[in-house]
Amino acid sequence: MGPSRASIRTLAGYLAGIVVGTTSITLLFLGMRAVMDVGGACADGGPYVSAQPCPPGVPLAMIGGMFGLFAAAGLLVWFGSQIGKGAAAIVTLGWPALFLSLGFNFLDYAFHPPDTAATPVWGWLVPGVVFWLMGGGPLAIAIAAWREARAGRPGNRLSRQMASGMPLRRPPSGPTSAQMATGLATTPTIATDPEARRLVASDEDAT
Amino acid sequence: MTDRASRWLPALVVVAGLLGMWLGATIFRALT
Repeated sequence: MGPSRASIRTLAGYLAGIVVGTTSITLLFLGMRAVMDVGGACADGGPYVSAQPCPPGVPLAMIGGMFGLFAAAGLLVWFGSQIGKGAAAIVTLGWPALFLSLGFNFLDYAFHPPDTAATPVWGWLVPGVVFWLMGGGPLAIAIAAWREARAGRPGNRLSRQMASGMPLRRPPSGPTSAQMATGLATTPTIATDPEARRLVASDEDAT
Repeated sequence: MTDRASRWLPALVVVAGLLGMWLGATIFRALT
């Protein structure tokens, strides 16, 4: 028996969201490089003659990429939530994907500028570092929380939330719900009982 | 979502991501 019609539609919508998202980030990435090739700023239209017009097609590509990201986020959340928590949560990777890739452009041009400027070009190095911190910081925290949750040591609110969304990996043979709730557990393990998870979460949130 | 479909989901996501990057580069080349 194959997947039902509705689930195929859900899967197609979800994958379309991935395609639109990566297409948009690629358009922004390449558009940004084209603008940086002409000095990092350009302008078109209006009553004045622009000193640096934009490369042809780049404004459309970049504006399309920006709106495409919103469309992708909408598709991923709408269809992903029908598939599962993890599928919908992939939309959060859009943030590090965007900032790390655009930050790469800044850093690349800081050390390899198109003209023969003295390297590093500080005006591009600083935003590059800022972008990588903005993209890499949340990603590093999320990876650390995911590893904690997977290892069964949910130590903070983020990793507890992740642990509660993960499929059960072991039978509930560890400490009882009451032990988990009162913090008397001797072996660190994920509370496999949803009720115990709720108790642990509310207990630690209250402190 | 069937079990078989969800088992293949990560691979499908990677393929869709690569397809999107190719599509983005192709659109950009066509526009500029």
